[in-house]
Amino acid sequence: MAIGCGVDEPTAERYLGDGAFRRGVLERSLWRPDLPYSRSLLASYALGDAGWDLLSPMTELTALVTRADSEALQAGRALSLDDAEPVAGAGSDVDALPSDEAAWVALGKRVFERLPMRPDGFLRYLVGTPEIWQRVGIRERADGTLRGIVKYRDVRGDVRVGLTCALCHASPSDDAALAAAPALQRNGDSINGRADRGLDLGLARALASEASGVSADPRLRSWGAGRVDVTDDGVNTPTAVPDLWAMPYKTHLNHSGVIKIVSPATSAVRFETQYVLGHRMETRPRRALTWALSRYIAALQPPAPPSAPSVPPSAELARGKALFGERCASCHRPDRGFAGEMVLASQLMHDPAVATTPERGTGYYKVPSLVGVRYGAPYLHDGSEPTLASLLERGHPRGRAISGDDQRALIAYLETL
Amino acid sequence: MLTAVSAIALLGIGCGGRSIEGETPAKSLEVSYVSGHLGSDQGCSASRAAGDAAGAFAPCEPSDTNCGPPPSYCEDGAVTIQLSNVGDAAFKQLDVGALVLRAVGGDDSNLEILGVTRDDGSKFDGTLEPTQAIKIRVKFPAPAYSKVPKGATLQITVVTDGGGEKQVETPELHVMPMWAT
Ligand code: HEC
Ligand code: HEC
Repeated sequence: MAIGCGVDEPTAERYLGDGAFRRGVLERSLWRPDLPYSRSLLASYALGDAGWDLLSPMTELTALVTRADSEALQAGRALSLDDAEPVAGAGSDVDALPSDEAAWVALGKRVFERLPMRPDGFLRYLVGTPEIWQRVGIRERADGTLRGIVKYRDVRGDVRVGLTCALCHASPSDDAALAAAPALQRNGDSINGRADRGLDLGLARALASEASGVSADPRLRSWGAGRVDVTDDGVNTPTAVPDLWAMPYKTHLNHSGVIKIVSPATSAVRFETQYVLGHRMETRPRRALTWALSRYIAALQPPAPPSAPSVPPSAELARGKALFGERCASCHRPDRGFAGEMVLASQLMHDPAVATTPERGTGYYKVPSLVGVRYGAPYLHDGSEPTLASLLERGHPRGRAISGDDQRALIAYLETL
Repeated sequence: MLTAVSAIALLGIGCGGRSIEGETPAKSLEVSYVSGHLGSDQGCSASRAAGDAAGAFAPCEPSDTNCGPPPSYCEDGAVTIQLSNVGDAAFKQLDVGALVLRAVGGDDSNLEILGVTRDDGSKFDGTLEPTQAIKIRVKFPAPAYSKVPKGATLQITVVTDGGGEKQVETPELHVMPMWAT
């Protein structure tokens, strides 16, 4: 690779071609190497001539699942892959890499929407049972497709139903919001990057389990829409699906900050390992796709307000801004996208469970960015605060409540971020 | 893909997750760890419905939202290894002889081998031509979560033509993640 020695410039080439570089990124980003989450990645990723680097690349022919597929499953017919096309686009050449940033981002959008992150038995049930779509928050779109659910042939040759990033991290939005969203983020009826807070995957899993005659773990029904327990450690910690804006300002990933962002390649490594784990460690995504995905996520922006906001009196806004400076800015740093360093969960008034899970708990919560916070309800790592007003009323972050005129002023200011 | 040259260059370095040993001057097999997980034993009791089955869960007291092992689903464990013929004669009868589970902080136990296939799911017929490298997947029943809460390594014994043995030990493996996000 033609890269100057000693330059720690994590270009696409370094991520794509240099295993030692990828290994270094992984090791530096897992700052709590003792946690089971970290250990499982450190054991197998970028080892060189053993481990996951030896996996065969994933098949890339996929198609969005449609109403016709639903009917096929209901009738007990096999799913057809006649309409499948490469994730990179019909007729694409897998050896040709995107030539500029815009092309990488465009490829990333396809990956986000179409590359299966994992197959799952419950999805097959879900697709084949339209009666429950509304209950679990799945919508059929005007073109008959379901967002974020694809069919594809897996590494063993079986046709599977899988979910993509767009199942959890895109949300149905009204026409005005869609029109205002950058083209890059429009995905049919939804906006990519905005968490789907109406989707109840715990319920979907529970219903699938019951339909197969096995009583469902009651924890699954306890999560509620917009939340999933992503850890496998026996402690029930449903976690809100986050919006994906403000990536360039983040210092850590996930609510407990288990991954430290040490390089622009950190998220590409994270996504790559996510696909490997999701596919039962039997195949790996082509790295050009995970690099493209990381560029796409880095480019996501909160949508503009759906309608022109009523402009609050400027005195109120000024007061809100001043209050923010006094009470909030030490953690939510205005020069860093209103994000900040991590805070010990024990020093906050919020439930510490997600910060202390056996699998990924660091003891900390990261200070989330407040860019686009007007769209972020319900708030906090567990989605436990329905509105900005309730959050301030309850006394975030350490118990000192803000109400009345101060609260109104602060909210007016927060809504401009 | 591993070339014979790079494999030979590594002889004797004792790189983790691989083992190389000359069988005879002509036959030489290299075995490398590729990937693996310990599956999930949750809900496997009723029917051993693995893979794409709808999924099943451990029973918990309805009131207890923090009980027991993770609410995962029934899935066999699987480990994938790469076999590389770095000699100049073909192998005719390779097979997986034994699979030993070594729980982190626990005991060793033998695992039942449920099946051995190529990594694309096709049949593994035990042959391996010179310079050929293939991946095989070994399936085994998921150990109970309570036996491997901190993960486990697996020791895999590959039996070669004429009864020779080659072993490889995996790094620490874990139960199959439910969401992997
Ligand atoms: C099953 C729903 C689901 C799917 C599918 C999913 N995610 Fe997530 N994602 C989550 C949840 C829940 C979290 C929060 C996890 C935590 O904090 O521990 C998260 C966290 C993240 C974060 C960290 C955000 C932050 O600010 O900390 C990023 C980035 C991300 N996901 C990107 C992706 C991408 C890219 C994909 C596709 C490869 C994807 N996710 C697929 C649910 C999902
Ligand atoms: C001590 C550091 C600290 C201070 C001071 C602080 N916050 Fe936070 N803030 C955090 C942390 C940490 C979180 C994440 C907590 C969680 O997820 O449980 C958070 C979360 C939030 C959220 C939720 C964001 C989301 O997307 O869910 C909002 C809104 C917020 N803070 C606003 C404020 C406002 C307004 C102030 C000033 C009154 C303030 N914060 C002061 C640390 C702080």
